[in-house]
Amino acid sequence: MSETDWKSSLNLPEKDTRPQTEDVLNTKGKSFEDLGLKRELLMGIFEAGFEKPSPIQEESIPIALTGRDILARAKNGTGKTASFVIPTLQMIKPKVNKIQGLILVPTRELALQTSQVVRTLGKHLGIQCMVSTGGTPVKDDILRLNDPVHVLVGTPGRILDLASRNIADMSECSLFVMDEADKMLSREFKRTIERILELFPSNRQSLLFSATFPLAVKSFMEEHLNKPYEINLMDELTLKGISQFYAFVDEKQKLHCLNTLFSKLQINQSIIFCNSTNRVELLAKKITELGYSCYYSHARMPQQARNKVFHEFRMGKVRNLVCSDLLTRGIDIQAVNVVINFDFPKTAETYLHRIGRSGRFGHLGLAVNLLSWDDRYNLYKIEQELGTEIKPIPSVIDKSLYVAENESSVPKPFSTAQNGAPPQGYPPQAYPPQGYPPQGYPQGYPPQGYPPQGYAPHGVAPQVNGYPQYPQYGYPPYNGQYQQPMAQPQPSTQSSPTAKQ
Amino acid sequence: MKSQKLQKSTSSKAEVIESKFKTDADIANANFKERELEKWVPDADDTKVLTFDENSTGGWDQFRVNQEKFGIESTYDEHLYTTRINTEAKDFQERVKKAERLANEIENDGSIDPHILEERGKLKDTGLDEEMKYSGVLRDEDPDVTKRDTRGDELMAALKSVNISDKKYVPPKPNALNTAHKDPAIASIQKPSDKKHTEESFRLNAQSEINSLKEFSATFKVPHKLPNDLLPILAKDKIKQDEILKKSSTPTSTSASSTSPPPPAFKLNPKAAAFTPSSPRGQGSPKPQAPKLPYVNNGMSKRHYQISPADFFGGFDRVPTKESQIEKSKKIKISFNLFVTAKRNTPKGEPVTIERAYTTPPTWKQTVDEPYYNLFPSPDTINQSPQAKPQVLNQQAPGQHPQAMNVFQQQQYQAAMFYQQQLGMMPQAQGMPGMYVPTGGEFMMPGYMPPNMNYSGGSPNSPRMVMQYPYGNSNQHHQNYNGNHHRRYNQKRNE
Repeated sequence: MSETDWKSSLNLPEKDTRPQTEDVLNTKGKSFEDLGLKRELLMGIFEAGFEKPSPIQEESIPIALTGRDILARAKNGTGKTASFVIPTLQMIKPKVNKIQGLILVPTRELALQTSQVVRTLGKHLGIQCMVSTGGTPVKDDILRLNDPVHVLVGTPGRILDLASRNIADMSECSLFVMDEADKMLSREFKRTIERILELFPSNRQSLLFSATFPLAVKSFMEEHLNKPYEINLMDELTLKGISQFYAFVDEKQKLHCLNTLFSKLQINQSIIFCNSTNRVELLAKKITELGYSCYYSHARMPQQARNKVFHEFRMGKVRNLVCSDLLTRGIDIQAVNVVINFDFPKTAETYLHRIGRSGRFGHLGLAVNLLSWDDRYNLYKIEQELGTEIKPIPSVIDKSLYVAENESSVPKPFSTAQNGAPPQGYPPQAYPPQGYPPQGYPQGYPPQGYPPQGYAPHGVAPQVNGYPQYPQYGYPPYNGQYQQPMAQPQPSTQSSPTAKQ
Repeated sequence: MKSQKLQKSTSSKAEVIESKFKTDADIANANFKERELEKWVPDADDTKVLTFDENSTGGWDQFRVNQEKFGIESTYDEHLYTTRINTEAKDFQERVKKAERLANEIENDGSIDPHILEERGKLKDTGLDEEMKYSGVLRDEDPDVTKRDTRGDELMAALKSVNISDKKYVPPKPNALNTAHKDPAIASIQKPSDKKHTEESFRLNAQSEINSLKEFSATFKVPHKLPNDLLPILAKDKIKQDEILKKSSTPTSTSASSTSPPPPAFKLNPKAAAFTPSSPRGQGSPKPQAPKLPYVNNGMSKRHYQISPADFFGGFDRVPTKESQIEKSKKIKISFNLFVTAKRNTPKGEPVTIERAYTTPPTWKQTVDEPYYNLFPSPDTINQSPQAKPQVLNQQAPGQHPQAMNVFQQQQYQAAMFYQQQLGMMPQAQGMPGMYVPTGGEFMMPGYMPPNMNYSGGSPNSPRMVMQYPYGNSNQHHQNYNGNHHRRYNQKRNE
């Protein structure tokens, strides 16, 4: 294959045309080719839909390739995952059948997602990436480790169990990566992490990434890192692309308020956070009763169900997800444009990570906080700690703040899912189709003359009572035919997953 | 010792300047004050009322409902995310057997780390909510935990138990974990500045608080027996007094019966591992930090029988495990061996030098022995005032012998002086260098002797140094020693 050939033969995904903010555009103008990466790796990167390195990628990849330790912070969804996955893939030798890189994350879902990014970016490299987390049979993981594994992604407890018994052999693993490093160094993980580190060879390289560092990590730096290169690309904590609002309500008004939001907002996909597992389940049930498709997830569910929910939501099959803080950190779903804090969080870092589920990779997003009387001090405190102002919700929210012009170009994790979500939540008896116009709608949409006369601009949908008239705008009654774009993704032929993180 | 400490502290200062890695607080610098929040109002023609029945439990089949209503089918396949198990391998059956054995081993391995237990599927509930478990960062070295007065915890538990009866969701209260701003500047900003409150909302808010307080007072009971001497203060009337007594003695249904089951008999565990405070890495001197109380879970009071090992040892990572005990006993075996440590601390290629152990100068004033009765107050005086404990000194209990007090005061004074010495604050200006002048004037300090009295060669301005190396009192020596030591210290850090 000649020098120019390889690029033209790439199977590139549809270009994401949504506007992006400075958070990811403020670069020095390097390209991925400038970074001296392997051809096969570059192919994986471009086929994943990456065009240019984001600021954190531009900054960290060359340093990581020199073998130096890195301690980096960058905002939510600005490309941190790729910042450590790309150097990991570059440095791993596929012909050496040993674990050469370990990536630790705090939650199982995040481990799945990170592993999928490794597999996607490294699919031309012949690298085996395995996930190992709690909640799955240990036996299976032990069996998997009989075969070559180059990159191990997992949660600390399971990794320690495997590595301390030499089932996972860390003796040649020279790369240690921690995502969400502040959480990983929190008290409940720290001891486990230190025990894992004891199993590493002494010349290991460590890469630590997070968006938040509420506490200094100085002691860990001194003990375990070797002159880390520090990257801090943040002069503010919150993302520029996210508009934050609060709705000050009574506790018993919350559901009513949420329903109003659903009818007024143009939701592509939303994540709704509650503070207790029971409320998560109840609220999800209510939402399905209101006529919107909705899954829920929290840590008390069996892992198999958690994985299923996570996967389907990533694939855009279901529009709404109600969850606990289990999915607060790191989860990257490009199509999410609205985050709702049904219950307000306690800590600033939780708030920041929650709202960072929308507005991924410099895109626009909306965060709405339902505040009850008891939450007000938390609001002031979090505003204070984050240096951001949360404004009261206006009766009309400008669509340009969070709705993309062309939803169909929003990248999906697996290429076969490119056509996006069918208009779930659209049984005609219960308007509105959220995320109107529904993404992935068959060609020819929107119908001519859309929006129709009398349709209120700025996402204000006609009142609930008026909804039955909607089919006249061109919605055929729901008959299940929109399921067809969701073909079974083939792991071997993924061609353009784009979990940009 | 002193000089070494000083060097350490200066070098760590240098590090602080060196490392500019900012915490969240360093980045956020804006000030947002409390303000009146705008109430959300539903649209006028939106009359549909939706509420949330908190008492029902969740637990519904989300996959079935979403499939029936919205036609969502699951396509999850774990091989999209992880590697495939090779079932074709020749020795697959063997592998399975081996894997099962190892899996069994792992699952039955004793560990008390909550995260590891959770990963093994052994632990469903740690008492932490999912925010603290998966998102929030536990503030390990929050000074507030050590400073917090825990005396009110029992009262707080009673307050909470009143709320528990109705299963309503209670939004999180700002707790010590995340509210306390130590910076007085921020703290003052955070104080309510309610001038902007309009009459209307203030009245509404106040009313709701008053109502909740009223409700609370109707059901609340202090969890202690009412002291009799409180009665006349609470009510003058005898009938009313009886009423109060009666009310306090009947158990309240909400707090007592529903929440706390009878405590199981508490037995000390003879097999429990010995508790030995040690720094986590087991090397060097412990960091000077405030004494840690057992970890208190956000003001939730815990009774003794509820205290988990983590609470007892002050954190999950401090609970002794089998491995840590083995490690510790290994360390103990060699840490006190002068030769082993000297060898280990010597850089490769250099001759091993064994350092002289720390020595202290004589602490007695003179070499002429004095009879014991000159050194101690007569036994009679001590026997006469058995109450002369340091605690009661200030009160000058009648009948107390003044001389006995004096002894205690002296001892206290010595302790104070010694402490000052340690800090390097010993007043030096009260005489020529090398000459001992009693500092207080009123009493001598029989147990104490200034270090620079016995010899003249020591550095007059640094009695601390001299005190440390009484036998090699030349400046040359000090520098050697310190230089040496400093180098080693640095080297350790660089390793």
